[in-house]
Amino acid sequence: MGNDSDHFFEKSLNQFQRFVRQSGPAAGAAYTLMGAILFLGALGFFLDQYFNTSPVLLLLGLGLGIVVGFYELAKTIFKK
Amino acid sequence: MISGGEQTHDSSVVDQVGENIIHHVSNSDIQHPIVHLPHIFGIDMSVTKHVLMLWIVAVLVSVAIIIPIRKYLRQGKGQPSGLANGIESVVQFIRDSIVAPNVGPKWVNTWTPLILTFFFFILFSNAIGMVPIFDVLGVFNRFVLGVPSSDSHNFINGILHGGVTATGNFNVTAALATITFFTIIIAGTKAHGFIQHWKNLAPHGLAWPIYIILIPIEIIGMFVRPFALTMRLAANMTGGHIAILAILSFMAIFADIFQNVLIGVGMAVVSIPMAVAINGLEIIVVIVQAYVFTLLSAVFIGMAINVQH
Repeated sequence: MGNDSDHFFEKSLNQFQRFVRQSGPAAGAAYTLMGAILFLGALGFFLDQYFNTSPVLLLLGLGLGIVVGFYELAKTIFKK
Repeated sequence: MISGGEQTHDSSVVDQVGENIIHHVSNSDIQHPIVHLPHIFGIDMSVTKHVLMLWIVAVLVSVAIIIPIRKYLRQGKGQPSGLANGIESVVQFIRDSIVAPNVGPKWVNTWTPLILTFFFFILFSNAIGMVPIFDVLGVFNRFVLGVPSSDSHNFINGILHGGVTATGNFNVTAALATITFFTIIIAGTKAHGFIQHWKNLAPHGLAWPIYIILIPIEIIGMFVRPFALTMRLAANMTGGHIAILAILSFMAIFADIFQNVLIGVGMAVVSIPMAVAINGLEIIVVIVQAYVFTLLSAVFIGMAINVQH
């Protein structure tokens, strides 16, 4: 009984470690996608305020954010 | 809730609740620092609540992690026991499951200490935000010592200003992400040499017009990664605390809406179990956020070492 539960615990822990290993690059790509859109969107917003060009730079920032974010995502997905 | 912000009696309850929540998650005002220090290069070096919390966390990490490990190392070889045993399992998990798969076997021992430092520092900073030590001190100060909240010269009243979760402050997480940013550059430089590290930014062998688009995208990507680390940790740590305080504030809001104290007290039946449940969730968040920051740092460092385009 003790051996069974030890075995189950070990298997569960190994499985958990496997998930952790696999989730790393996916988490990195997901957060970079979100971060790029937020970062460049916010940068565009503040530059719009400064130069009084609203909403041109905000839209440019969001567009560039999407390009950068998806580029980073593609790098993770199509990794050799 | 006892430390409340600068509330005025003519503002509505909802306004007061908003002020109270902001007061509990933000840093203390630099105009009312805990320790006064001089300006250096025009920067006020006075100690605010979050800086105090960082110091407390540094001491706690030293006591809880460094001392047991040094004690174990002094003993020589053998199986660690007690706290050192627990630390060993965490260290082994982070080394084998987070750092090694990302940076590779050659660099695992180089970057594991940094990642472990991130993990324990963030874990302790997050966790200390769950301990209402200053609120308990405030209650003791107010009801046992009889010091009024208006007494601004009282030390305990002074330390009640501001939130206790240092990792909920964007400046703290930005500092941690800045360390990751430079670590990525250093890791790439150590692995490939300075010039080759920068050449590795973009894939090799493409037509030159592609590089005009690709190089700026890669450079922006370099700054986006630490930005994502900064926002994610601070927003997650602040969000949980705001949720708890907002749910507890239902009691005051409903009592004000219906102009009946009993309805406010009745709301406690809903508010308190919900706040307790979110507190339970926050305990998981404390661990998960420390884990995610270390995982992402390891992934980003690994991307500079194992270049795959």
